[in-house]
Amino acid sequence: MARIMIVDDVATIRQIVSSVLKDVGYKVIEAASAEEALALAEVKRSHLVVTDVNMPGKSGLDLITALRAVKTYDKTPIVILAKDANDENIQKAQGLGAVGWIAKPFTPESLLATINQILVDHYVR
Amino acid sequence: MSVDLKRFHATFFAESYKGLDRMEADLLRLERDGPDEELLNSIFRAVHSVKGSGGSLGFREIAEFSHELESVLDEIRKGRSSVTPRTSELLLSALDCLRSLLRDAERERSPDEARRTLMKDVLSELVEEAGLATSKAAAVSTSREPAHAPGKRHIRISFRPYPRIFYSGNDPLRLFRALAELGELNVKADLDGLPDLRHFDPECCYLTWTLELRTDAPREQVLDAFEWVKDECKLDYTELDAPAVPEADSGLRLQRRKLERRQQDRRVSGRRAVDLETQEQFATSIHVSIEKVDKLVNLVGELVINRTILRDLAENFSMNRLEQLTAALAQLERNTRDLQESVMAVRMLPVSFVFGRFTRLVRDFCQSSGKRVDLQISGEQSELDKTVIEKLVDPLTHLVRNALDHGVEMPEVRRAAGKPETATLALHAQHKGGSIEIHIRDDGQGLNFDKIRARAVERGLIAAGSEPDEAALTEMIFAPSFSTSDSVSDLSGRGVGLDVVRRNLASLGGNVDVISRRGEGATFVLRLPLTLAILDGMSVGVGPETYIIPLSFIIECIQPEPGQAKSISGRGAVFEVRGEYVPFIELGRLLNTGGAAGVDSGIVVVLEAEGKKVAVLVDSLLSQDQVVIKSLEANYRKVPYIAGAMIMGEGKVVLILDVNAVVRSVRD
Repeated sequence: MARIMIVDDVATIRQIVSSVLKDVGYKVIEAASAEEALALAEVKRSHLVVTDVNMPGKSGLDLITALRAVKTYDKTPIVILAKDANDENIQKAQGLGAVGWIAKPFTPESLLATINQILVDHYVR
Repeated sequence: MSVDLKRFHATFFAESYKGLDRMEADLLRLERDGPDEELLNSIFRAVHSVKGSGGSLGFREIAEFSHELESVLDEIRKGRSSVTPRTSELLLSALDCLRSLLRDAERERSPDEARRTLMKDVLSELVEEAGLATSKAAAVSTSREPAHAPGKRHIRISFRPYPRIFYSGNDPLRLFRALAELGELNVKADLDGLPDLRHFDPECCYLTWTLELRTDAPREQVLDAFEWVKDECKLDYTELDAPAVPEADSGLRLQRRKLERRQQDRRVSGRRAVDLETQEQFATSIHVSIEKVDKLVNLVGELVINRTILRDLAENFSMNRLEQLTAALAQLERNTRDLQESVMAVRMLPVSFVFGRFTRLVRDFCQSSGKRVDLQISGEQSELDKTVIEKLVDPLTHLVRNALDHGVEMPEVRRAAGKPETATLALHAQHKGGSIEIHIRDDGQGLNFDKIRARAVERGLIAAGSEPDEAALTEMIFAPSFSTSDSVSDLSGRGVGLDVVRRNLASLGGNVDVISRRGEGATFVLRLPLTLAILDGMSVGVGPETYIIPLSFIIECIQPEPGQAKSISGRGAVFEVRGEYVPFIELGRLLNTGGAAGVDSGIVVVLEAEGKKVAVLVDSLLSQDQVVIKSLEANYRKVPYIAGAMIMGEGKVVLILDVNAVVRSVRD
């Protein structure tokens, strides 16, 4: 089963995302900051990264750039958690290579639908 | 698919409260030190997190409120709006609203109407303050002089620019400035067109204005000012024949001021409600550092090894292994003691948990009273048992409010007394032996002994002509329902006196003292045991029974000599300790324990509580132990003079003496 990395400084969000994904059988690794995510990326591969943008320290956008420099993550699809459809970070993230976004707040169903879709697009088709 | 989101609630609430506490500290720092990018980002993030996770968990009202708040903060963060004192005031109110929303959600109830109105007021005022701070300032600056020059024409212009006016590079403010040069200009902005924040486009002009001009400039010259915008707005030009009646104007202003005051009141009362609620609220879970947990795990590991050794010894015991057994038991004792200490350490929290809330309290107090106070906090890292901390909140709040209300003087008074206008209120915590000391020191006026004396006479505590010394007068402020406050203020003067503070602390095995110097301020010193669950006690034998006396109350133990105990007719007995006469109590008689020894064969234990000494007769001193207190009330019922119970090694229940009650029995 696919492994997904969730990066968010907010524990509640990490917990929700990770439980929802685990419930349907995904493997999940959690990071509370971009720095932690990069350290994890050095030792563990993931099939997908979900990251918040606005975090203390390195931002989610910084993380995208940095992940692209990690050999095992240079093509990994990255999804950002955005404020809403008008969030200017969506454009920026896509410019950096993110493949999609999920608006916060989200429902477990919409989260799962987006993630499934992206995994299918990226790995199946 | 259905996911039970409830399992995330605990994390969400704990995380959000913590985030908002940090946000409060940040806001207070913002107010004190001015804007700073990192600070603004951190504040923004706090709200953003609550919105994101609250919304995902389906807390609609929390998400909506924090969304609007977030938008305002975003404007501020991006430098499009400045932080005025009013903004930070409003942000703090908004923070309180968010807290109460969280609390409501946690208790699964919806906010009441008053709170909804308050939230709406706070938000709309924030939008106005943050989004339109500049145009408002312009309105104020041009309407400062209400005096009407005679002989000038009075013109009213209704100026309604189209939403896209900014695109042509026009700035209504520049236009108003030009008009103001022609005469006396009064600008009123109409905010009705403002959309809610979600639909707010900063490049759009939502405002319309009514301009009133008193000028002797001709009509053409006035309209000339609108030359550049005349295609981009609706303009109505009216000459008012009758001069505006100043009374009507001031009446309007009065009404507005009233409205403002009412809003302010509502805000304050709203906040007070929140404030009071905060006090009852205490997290039921605690964060424990990994380090503490690791230590526990290690200790349990050692305990398991120890058990294996002991089991082996028990199974294959012979007398020549006695030494090994003794060693293993000594090890067991060490282990359990360490384990006990480590488990207690898990319950320890830094005092900053209580101190933290005073920053806000002092700030709000200064705003409403006009006094100036600098709050200094030190030693807040000292740790204290969670239960003690919770019980400390009320007495401490009371003392801080007292110091602010009665101790600290108004700036003028301080200046006249040659003191700096800003008073200092210092909170300090330190460990001292097995207890913690908390100092609340202000550099205000100190206790007013004249007032205390007058009040004591009035209350019948002392005779009219008597002249008790300052120490005795100081003691009076702890007398039941004693208060010298002339008026009931916002903060103190709720009819709860210092006697309650002292009684509450005494029930925790602590006490409170005060040192006061006239004109230089007062220091209240609280002393509390570090934990309530464990105490050092002396076991004493009384007849066939054993009792525990908490060690902290024991001053000395004396082998009585004949004649040291004297009975005074009608007033019980006294015991002479080096020339001092102390009330004498035979514990066996007080507790109805038969078979207790008499004065000739017993031992006298001198105890001190609530500033009073008593001499207590017991049969014998047995041992000194650390005891774990069990509540007697919870397991049995309340017993007079007994504070609780403990279970001895052999399973026997032993009662713990309530020394405060014993001392009080003498007074009664």
